[in-house]
Amino acid sequence: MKEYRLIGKRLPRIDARDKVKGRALYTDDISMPGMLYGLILRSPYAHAKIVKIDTSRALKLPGVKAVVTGEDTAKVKFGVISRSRKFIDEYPLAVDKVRFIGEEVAAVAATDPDAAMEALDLIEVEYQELPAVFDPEEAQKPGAPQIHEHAPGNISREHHMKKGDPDRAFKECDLVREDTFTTQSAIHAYMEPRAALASWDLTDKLMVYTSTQTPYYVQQHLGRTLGMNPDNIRIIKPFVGGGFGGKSDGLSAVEFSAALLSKHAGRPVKIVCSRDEEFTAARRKHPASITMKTGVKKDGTIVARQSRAILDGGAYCSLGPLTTVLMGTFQTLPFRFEHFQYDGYRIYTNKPPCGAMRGHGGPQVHFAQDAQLDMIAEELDLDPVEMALKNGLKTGDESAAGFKIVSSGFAECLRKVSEAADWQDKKRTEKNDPKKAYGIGLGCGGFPSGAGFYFNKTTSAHSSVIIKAGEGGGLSVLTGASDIGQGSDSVVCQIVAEVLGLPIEDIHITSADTEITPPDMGTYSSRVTVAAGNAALNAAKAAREALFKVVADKFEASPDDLLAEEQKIFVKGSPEIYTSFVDAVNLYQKKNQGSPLVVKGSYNSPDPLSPTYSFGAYICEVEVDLRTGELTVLRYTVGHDCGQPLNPMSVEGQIEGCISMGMGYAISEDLRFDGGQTLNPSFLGYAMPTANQMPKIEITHVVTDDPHGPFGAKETGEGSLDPVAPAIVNAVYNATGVRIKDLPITSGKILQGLKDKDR
Amino acid sequence: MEKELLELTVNGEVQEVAVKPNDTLLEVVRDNLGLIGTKEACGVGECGACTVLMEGRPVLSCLTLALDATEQEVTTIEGLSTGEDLDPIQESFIQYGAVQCGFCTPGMILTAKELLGRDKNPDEAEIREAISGNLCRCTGYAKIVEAVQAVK
Amino acid sequence: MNSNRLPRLKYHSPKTIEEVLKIKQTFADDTVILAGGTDVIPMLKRRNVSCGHVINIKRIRPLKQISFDEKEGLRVGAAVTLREVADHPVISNAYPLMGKAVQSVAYNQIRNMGTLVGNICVDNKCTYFNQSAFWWQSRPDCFKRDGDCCYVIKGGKQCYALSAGDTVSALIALEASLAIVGPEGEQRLPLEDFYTGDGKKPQKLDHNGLVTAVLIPPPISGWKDGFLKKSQRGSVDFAIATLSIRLRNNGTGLEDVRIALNGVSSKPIRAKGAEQYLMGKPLDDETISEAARILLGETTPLSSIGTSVQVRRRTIEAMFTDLIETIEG
Repeated sequence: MKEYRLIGKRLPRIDARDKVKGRALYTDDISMPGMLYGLILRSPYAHAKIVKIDTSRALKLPGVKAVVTGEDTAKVKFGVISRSRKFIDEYPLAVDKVRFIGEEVAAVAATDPDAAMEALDLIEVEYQELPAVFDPEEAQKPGAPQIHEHAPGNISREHHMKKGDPDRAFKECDLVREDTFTTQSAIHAYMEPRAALASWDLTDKLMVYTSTQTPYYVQQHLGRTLGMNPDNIRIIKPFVGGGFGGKSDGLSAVEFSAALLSKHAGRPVKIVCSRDEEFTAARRKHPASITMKTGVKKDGTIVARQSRAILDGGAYCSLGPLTTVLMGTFQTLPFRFEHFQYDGYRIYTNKPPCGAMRGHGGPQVHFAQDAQLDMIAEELDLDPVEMALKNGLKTGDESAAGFKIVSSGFAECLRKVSEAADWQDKKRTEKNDPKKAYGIGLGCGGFPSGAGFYFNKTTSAHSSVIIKAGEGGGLSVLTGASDIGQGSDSVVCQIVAEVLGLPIEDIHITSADTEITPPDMGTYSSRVTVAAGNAALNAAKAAREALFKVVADKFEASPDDLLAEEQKIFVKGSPEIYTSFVDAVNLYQKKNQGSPLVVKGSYNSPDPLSPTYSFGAYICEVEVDLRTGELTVLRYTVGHDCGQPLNPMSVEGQIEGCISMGMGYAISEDLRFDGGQTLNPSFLGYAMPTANQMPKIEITHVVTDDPHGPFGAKETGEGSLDPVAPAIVNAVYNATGVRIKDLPITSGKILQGLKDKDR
Repeated sequence: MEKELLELTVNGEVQEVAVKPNDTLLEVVRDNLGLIGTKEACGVGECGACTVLMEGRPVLSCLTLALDATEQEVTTIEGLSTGEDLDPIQESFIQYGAVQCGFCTPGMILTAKELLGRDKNPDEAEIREAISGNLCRCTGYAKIVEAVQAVK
Repeated sequence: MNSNRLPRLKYHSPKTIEEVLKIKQTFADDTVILAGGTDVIPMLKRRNVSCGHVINIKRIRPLKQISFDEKEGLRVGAAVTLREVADHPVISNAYPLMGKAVQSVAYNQIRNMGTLVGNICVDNKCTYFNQSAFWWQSRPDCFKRDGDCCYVIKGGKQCYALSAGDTVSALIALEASLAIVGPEGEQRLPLEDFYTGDGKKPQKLDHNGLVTAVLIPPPISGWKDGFLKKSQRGSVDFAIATLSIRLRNNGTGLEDVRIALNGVSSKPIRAKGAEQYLMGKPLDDETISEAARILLGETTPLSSIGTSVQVRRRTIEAMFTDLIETIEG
């Protein structure tokens, strides 16, 4: 692997200094003169007609400057996947009907927080309650309440795919297993609640600061729903305190209500969600029921897979139509299937809408897949690692869903982790303590490094970067890529600095301000490092080419023979004769009639599915108290192939974060419902992992040089989540003989399993 | 509702602010004093993002009435180091990659700072116990623990 | 600002106990005592309690004190924080059981704010009751909200909110009592008798009374003790159960024993049946498991979110066995 000056180094984040000083501005940290406090009124009913809303009493309250309802809107629906009309199913403020508890019905803005609170209570909404349905199986039955007119049977989306002939292939298999797995409702629980600050100028232009992953989509969808040209809307993404898919919907009632209230009041309006609102009404992960049938030869070769998934979609589409597809296609990573069939159904229910969450369908199906393969390995008396090695996708393969694998370190991941974790010995650990049992399990994953398509119709490149040279040797970099905490600003700066031989401090980035930065799909689908990274690489190369041209002329050399290092440009082999970077920029300007050096670079995925895929193998070790079912996660050993890690420290940070989120998903995180009502809308109730719960984590970077990634890099932010939960599930089985098919793994389920086993 | 004039000592400076009895210390440091480094992530004492030091000890500013904070030394993240300088723990958080989205960071740093004040060389378990009330959704805490351990 | 805003309120910060009583008399049940605030403030924010007057007792000097006397024992004032208790040399030397229990409460910041008496007086907790005002718009009020149903035990005839104070089992095992001051002066009440078992009004304290201190008898040599808390995520969460055991073993059998449990039902439990059974017996495996069985019979564990009745029962059993083993070392 080639050695670089900055690439591959453990560099501190460029924004870390501001963050540790408490100076980084998040949306709620920004204020404007005359700004009003906004709050949203939400539906207490899971399904009801809105008969009448009377806002007059609220409006009369001193300090209240605006109250808006669906009646004050253009009544235009939105939906992030706006390529199909069917998926555009949601009003930003409810019109005529509410479909889940927490749905946004009205909003108020007041000069004083207490007045805003009291105004909410003074809005009188008359509802006519309708029968509601909460279970996706019930919702499909004849006579079930219809949640949307356009969706008979409450089917929000169905997706079918088939390769080969699984039915025939199963007959030729030595073993065919069919199991049903179910997963719970989980939520992003990003630390920064959603917030938006909107203000209008006197030429009717709207500016919105918002905590989003997708500023460009917000601009488009706000334009649609407000009935205005998106070009008159400026979306600024300040620092964002995490998203994990929960801020990628293109629009939320928070942004919309702030904009509309501000328009009505003629003053800036800020709305910040409470944690309670986040747990009650924000997007979340799809609970799913997955029936999986897999056929194998007795040597462990996987032959065929047939699966059916029912997704509990909640009341609106959000990104769910895509989730429905991905829960099929993601099963085809990281293993080969000659015959493959998938049928996915996303069903509307009267619960909060489910959308994308880190891994986007992957965690659900990988739990099912790896648990089932573990069962198959046991039945065939095979080692799960050996079986994974036999079936893993290799460079040059194409997965059953058509994913073209241009680089795969999967086999190496498996070999390295099984060695590092001492897998062969530990999996045979004796079980003779009546109180406690030790177990070890494997989880596998693979993930696209970014989808190759926009959700709306546009001719924009997936990512673009503009570079503008200053006269002091610095470079301004403009990117639409949204740093939400994952570190994309740092990656973009690192790439530009590497190419141009500059210190990272000389790169000044402006990210995600739609007025200034070029369009970008946004932060989702694990696409930013590859797409924005490549756009940055292309822009930096364009800058280098422009500068090399003028310097080459000066030195009477070929541009191909020049190098840019340490703020200098020189001929290879003669670093003592150089032009400083500053001089080169000036030379460029002189030669170009003073025209500033401004270049751009763009990137489109060469493949409509994804340019490339990451791989991983995780081994988890656990201890179970056989008396109480108490589960302790002891250790993770991780092998992850993200191509060339651009910054190993950041890659590890993503993996460690995924282990915490995946562990929570596996053992405790569970939004519980009573009908349509969330029973635990709080951090305490949701029980995500704390510092003293986390196990030891040992990471091995498996380096592959990816042909499409910038400097060979691939994704790591989502693929690292998929193997986490199944590794625990398999370890619990190894420890106790209890096979968990229903997440999360609670003490109660382990106890029940032990009891059933004894019977 | 009548506002009361309150004297607060924040980051060593005595400041007079007009507050309502139902204003929390969190609201007052952020909205009245502009010290926005203190974050609200839950508002009900379940996440630690709003942690400030009171008389040197980490407390939750979302559960503290502003009026209760009078006659006490309050330190927010802005008071941990002056100007461009950094406290060693801030430096360590940067160097060890302990910061991702940054929203839990100020509270996390203040909590860890107090631990290091009473125990120069805490072991891993003590660090994890001390910060167990500070939720982080990005890092899995691994690099945070490393960063605290690395402070000498 | 978001919808977590505290309601409008009047703030009182008296300097003496007499002033507190006067404010309480004037505003009756429209008052709430604010010490650490870690229980009261979230309840106010969620509108679980409605009251116009908050009485801060942290400026009342005598309530800030810990005092120890070899004859009288220990007195911890109502405004003493859990951290101050944990850090006090007398507690770590003479009352290690209390030290352990105090360290098991919530987390760092909460222990710096919350008080020991606050942990004793913490309101019973419930998945349903402790929800926001918005949440309660979707269903009829429960007993604790002056309605007439219970969602924890469907068809239940009373409120089954869980008794939650993590230190309570230790204090009961230590035979602590409370000093309660009212218009008629100071009264002492054994802690064990402080709890009603009715989740709606879990403690015997009328709105004129103020708990000013918790009193613990002087330590007697020859006793060994231990404390355990089990919960989903370490101390952060409310307990699946907290268990305290004190015992005196003369080598041939138990001379004396105290067993107390909390976090499992609507009131703390002093396991007198198990205590009686153990008296005079040597602590062999058979005796311990029989005692655990009797202990379980004395408790009616409730379920709570994430913890089934079954898990709670098995956990109590395992805790009892483990704790006896640890104490006997």
